[in-house]
Amino acid sequence: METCIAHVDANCFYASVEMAEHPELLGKAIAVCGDPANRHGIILTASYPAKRKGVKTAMAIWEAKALCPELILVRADLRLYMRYSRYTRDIFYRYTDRVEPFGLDEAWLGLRGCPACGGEPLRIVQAISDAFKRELGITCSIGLSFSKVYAKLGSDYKKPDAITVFDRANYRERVFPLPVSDLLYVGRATTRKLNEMGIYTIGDLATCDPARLQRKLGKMGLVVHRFANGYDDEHICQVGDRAPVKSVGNSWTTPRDLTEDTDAWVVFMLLCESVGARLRELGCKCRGIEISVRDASLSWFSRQTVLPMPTNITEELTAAACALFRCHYHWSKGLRSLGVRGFDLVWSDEPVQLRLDIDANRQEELMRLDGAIDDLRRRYGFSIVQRAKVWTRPELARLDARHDNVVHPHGYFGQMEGL
Amino acid sequence: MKRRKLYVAVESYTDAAGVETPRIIHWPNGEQYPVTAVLRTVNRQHAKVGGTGTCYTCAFAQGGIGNVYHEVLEDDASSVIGARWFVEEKIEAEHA
Repeated sequence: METCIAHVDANCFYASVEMAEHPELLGKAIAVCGDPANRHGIILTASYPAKRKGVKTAMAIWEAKALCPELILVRADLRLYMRYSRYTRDIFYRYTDRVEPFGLDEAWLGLRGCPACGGEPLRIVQAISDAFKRELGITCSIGLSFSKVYAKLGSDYKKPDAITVFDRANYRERVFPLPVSDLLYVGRATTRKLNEMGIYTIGDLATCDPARLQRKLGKMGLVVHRFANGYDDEHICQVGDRAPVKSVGNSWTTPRDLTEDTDAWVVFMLLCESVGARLRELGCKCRGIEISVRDASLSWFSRQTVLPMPTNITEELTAAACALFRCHYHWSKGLRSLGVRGFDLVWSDEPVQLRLDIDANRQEELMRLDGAIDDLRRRYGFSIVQRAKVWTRPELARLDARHDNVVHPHGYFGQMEGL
Repeated sequence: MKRRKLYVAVESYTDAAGVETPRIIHWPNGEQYPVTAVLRTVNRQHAKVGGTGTCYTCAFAQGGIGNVYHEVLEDDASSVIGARWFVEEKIEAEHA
């Protein structure tokens, strides 16, 4: 199989974009950070000079300043980064119509049969790298390989501004010695389990008996074994392919710590209003709901449950989220952020088995209420109508989760299954 | 000499195929620079003043050649709502 899958990763994307827009920052230690007033005061991306001083993503601002006193902090401008992200895709589309974005700053490209640059993938990625520098003023690392996972490993292999090729001839000597934690979907917990099995490198994982991995890691054991061997044959979606929506979610880091149930209810209500409205717009209902909870010490967990009936009704989503929350959290600490996600989506018009214990008339009323609220907000904006109880916490009530939050792309597996 | 990014008003012409051509550049001080020919268009970053977009290399009626950049403009939800033009302004050191 030829090496015709590329993974392009823009280096320190947010920081690079800021430097492209403000050349006076070039070569300096800069960090793009969230808004400290809204408690998003962490480092989102640092430039290479800052990284060399130890500044890392997700570090608190004070921590970064202690390591690098000359650090220049730049407030994140997501609109600008989305513009550059669009420009990067415009560049990709000149060479191929198979572009699968993975976040704002990464994408897989299918280069098989592309006529540009004599049809040679290596020359195409060189042209892309040049275009990044000339047109956008930013650099990228590119991995070129025969599988998506190896291509991604390639783009991480050498940074910044590099092209790495893992082909059939060299992958055993170049990929196999890499630590297993470099592999996509091998996080901290999986690395620990693999280490316990004596697996430290990608080569160890690739040559391990898959049955043994399955016993230890379940289904994911087989997946990471395939990844380690470069056996992923997932296709790269075509332009115009609409990635199937697998779930709809929103989360919010609140302006102050949440300390009791009413606080949590208000936030869940605001988040569920957004999730519900987006589900209704998609013409979907969800069969399951997941909450994610992060406390003041930044430790995090998520819990999910199956709903009695598929729904996109704000009130029902909120009730389910709150019930799940009450079961699993007992206010040992204040909370910093909450999230809600509706998953296992079905079309709204799909027939469902009615239940005697659920009042269909009440559901009908709630659906009409949601429809009316959606219409009002579409015409006059989010704040035209709100639930009164939300205003018992005015400092929280202003969240328009739907428009204030960017909806991030779903994970690698998001492309693999249909709705 | 310092340089900075200056957004300017531009009269332009859009043909039926959607190709836009700048016609007159209006500087904030009221000076006008009619474009006699567009010599080249290319997507490019402006390395000195920052920013990126389509760079139009134009010949001006007063003589001389210069670049005008066309930069995309978005609303708060990041939907593209238009574009604006910028040029490089040279500032004498004492005014910088």
